[in-house]
Amino acid sequence: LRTLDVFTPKRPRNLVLSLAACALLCAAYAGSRRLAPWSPKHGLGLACGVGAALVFAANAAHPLRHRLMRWVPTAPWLQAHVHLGLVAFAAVLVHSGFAWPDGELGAGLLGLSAWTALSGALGVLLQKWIPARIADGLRVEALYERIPALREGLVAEADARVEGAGEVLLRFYRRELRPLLSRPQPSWAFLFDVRAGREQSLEPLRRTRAFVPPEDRERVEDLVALYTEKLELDAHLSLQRTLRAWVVLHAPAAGVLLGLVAFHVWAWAWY
Amino acid sequence: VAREVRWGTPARATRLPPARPRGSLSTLSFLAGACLLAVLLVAHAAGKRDLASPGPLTSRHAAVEARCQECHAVPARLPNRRCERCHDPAAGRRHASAEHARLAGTGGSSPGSHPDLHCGSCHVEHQGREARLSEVDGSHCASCHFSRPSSHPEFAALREGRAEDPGLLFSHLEHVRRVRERQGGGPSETCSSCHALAGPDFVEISFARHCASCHEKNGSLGALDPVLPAEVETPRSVAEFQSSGERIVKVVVRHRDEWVLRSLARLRSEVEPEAVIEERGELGARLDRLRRRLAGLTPPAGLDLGALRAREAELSTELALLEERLRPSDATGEATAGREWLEDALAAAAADPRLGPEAEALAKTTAEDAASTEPKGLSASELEKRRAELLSVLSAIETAEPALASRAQDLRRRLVALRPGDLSATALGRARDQRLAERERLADEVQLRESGLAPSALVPAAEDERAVREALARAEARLAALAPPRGEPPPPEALSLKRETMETLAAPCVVCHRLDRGALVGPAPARTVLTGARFLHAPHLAHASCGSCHGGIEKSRSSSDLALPRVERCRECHTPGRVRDGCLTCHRYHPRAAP
Repeated sequence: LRTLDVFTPKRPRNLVLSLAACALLCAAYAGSRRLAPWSPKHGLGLACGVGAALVFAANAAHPLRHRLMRWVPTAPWLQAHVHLGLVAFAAVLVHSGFAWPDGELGAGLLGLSAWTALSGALGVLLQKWIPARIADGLRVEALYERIPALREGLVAEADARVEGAGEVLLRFYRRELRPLLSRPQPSWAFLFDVRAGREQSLEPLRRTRAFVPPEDRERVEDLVALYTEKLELDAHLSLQRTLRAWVVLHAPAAGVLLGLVAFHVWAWAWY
Repeated sequence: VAREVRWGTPARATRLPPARPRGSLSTLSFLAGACLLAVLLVAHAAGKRDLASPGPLTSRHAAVEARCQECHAVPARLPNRRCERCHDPAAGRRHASAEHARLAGTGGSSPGSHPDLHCGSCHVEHQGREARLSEVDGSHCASCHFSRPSSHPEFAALREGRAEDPGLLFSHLEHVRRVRERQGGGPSETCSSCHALAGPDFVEISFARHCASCHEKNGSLGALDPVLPAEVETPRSVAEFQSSGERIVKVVVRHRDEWVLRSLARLRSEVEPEAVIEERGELGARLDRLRRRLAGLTPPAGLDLGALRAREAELSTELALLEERLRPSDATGEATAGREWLEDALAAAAADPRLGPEAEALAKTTAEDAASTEPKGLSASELEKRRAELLSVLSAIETAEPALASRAQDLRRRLVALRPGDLSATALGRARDQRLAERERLADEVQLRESGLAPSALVPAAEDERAVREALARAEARLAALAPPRGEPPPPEALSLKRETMETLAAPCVVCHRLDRGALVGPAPARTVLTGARFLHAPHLAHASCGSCHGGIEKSRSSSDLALPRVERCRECHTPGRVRDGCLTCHRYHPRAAP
């Protein structure tokens, strides 16, 4: 997988359309700015504000997609969510006149819009990057929720395998290897290389072979395989957790943004 | 065989994975948004209004930062009347878009495509403490006018060949020649000997400063020809008089000589009584306007509830009268507004032996008008004649019947405002609309007070109060000096003698001033030639000589000649990248407040 592949859209036509819409909004902004001073309360500025608010509300319905329109597949929903979100952020920028607002409410709205859009974009990139990395670099497949059970299984299997082993291997296993097997070791490094640190982690175990009697060497090989599997589970844990934790950056901000937008709309209508 | 790392999904799990909670994060997020909205609304209701503010107010308005209702009528948009609470104290509506169109010369009848332009469209608030509301982006103008200075049309004064008479007989040719002979120097020095800079523009031309050194000798403009003492005022001091047979001679005549002016005023009231009546009528109407303006100088925002209600009651009374006068016109479409009242007034005047014949004649004309079914406006000459007659009767009514004074003043004000072709119903309708708008403003202010809002601490000092008071004092002095004509008009031979005496008295004055219907026309040196723009000489003289714009002025023989440069001359410098070329560099939107 080449790094740039992450930026290749799944449906290029949708990206082209949304980028064209953004460009059109910016061009309309530049044109109307030449004709009259910019105001978010009139004309294009108001239209962009109203449009962005409506898109935010529609995008907020994304988690309810299965209840609202269960006949629409997830992919078109997601595409609409992503690309409408992009256009809505451009509309917010046009609404604000590409300037940082003076008020706290305006600053909050623009800041949260930017945060939500950027975290959404990050999510899109992660959704394209992580599954490809997992498929490309790991042999083991694991559901996130099953990882603890799988790890426990590996520990049990390792315990069974070292039964009757020599003193050296047994001591090494109990002191060094078992704690490593039973404890999850997530790492950000897996995001860039799913095999990050694997050789360094296996090296002490492999060196043990020279110090154990010949009948224990096969056990050492088995332990190497088990530990390798555990390292792959660690990679799964790190990557899948990232894939899920990303939403924490996006969804609460979007919820707060929706609240602020509602207040902003109310204040505009009231005053 | 050693164990290998397995491919695919391991099948060693002995129990099902725990169920993953669905939608909990999004539910919590929605709840967080809803809670935030609720908190903001509650905080707003509790008085924390700045939460809804799109930005801090300018420093001038900072004191009302959290008192949104000072400017916003909720739940609605930003109405202009909330700005006018402080910024249009005399309810002159001079900030309205229609006034801008009037300023531009369209008579206020076609206020462009923005009849309801909001103040906030140009003066955008909530842009921070440092923002300046008076600095308006000139591109606002482009929607009605043009976008580039290169498209600026020729000045209306040049396009229409406008040459306003400043009321002074003045020849640049003669004066420039004399000045050069006397003090030498180049063209600029010659100009600056009279047109001296004081601040951003020239100091106003005055006799004492600019003319006396040549036109006076020992403080005198010269001596008058002999006049009959009976025709002139009795002098308060005889030091400057000599006798010449039956006649007297004033040997020292000063500029604005008090005796000459008093004598001229007396003679004028005998020779040109209509002109005096008309001028008194106009002065009376101006006084009424100025007094009305002075009474309304404290903006509604600065008044307490009692004062507001009193002002509202006055307006309601005026409106009731206006409605009463307009009712027949509304019903029949005839131009008969106010006729009933006038008929009553004329009937009352007819009972007075001093006014009887004149009032009867007017009543007859009014009745003839009433018999006419077609609404018609008067021609200019007819209007002037009728106006003089009516003003004369109104003055008499005012003197004879003090109870009718306020109504007579009101009628006089509208009579003076009438233009040829106007129907009285139109003028009354305008007055009614103005009063209605003012009452609406006051009602809004009363509502604010009743909702608990105290009089605003931000009310600016009435910027034009001093100017109004000065104008009022001037108008009162002029009216006091202008005695009403009395008695029968003199016989023709006496009239001829009086005209001759007037000419004799005015002889030193008419060297420079014009005599119009017996009155010396005062000069208007500060008149605005470019009515739609402002121009300051000082910054321009730093870069150009007088002659580079006013070429050929030194050969002019008339004071109305200004040798104005064409607009191309302005464009030579006012181009992008050189000198500011925005609309607001020269133009203003709102008419001036000066009375």
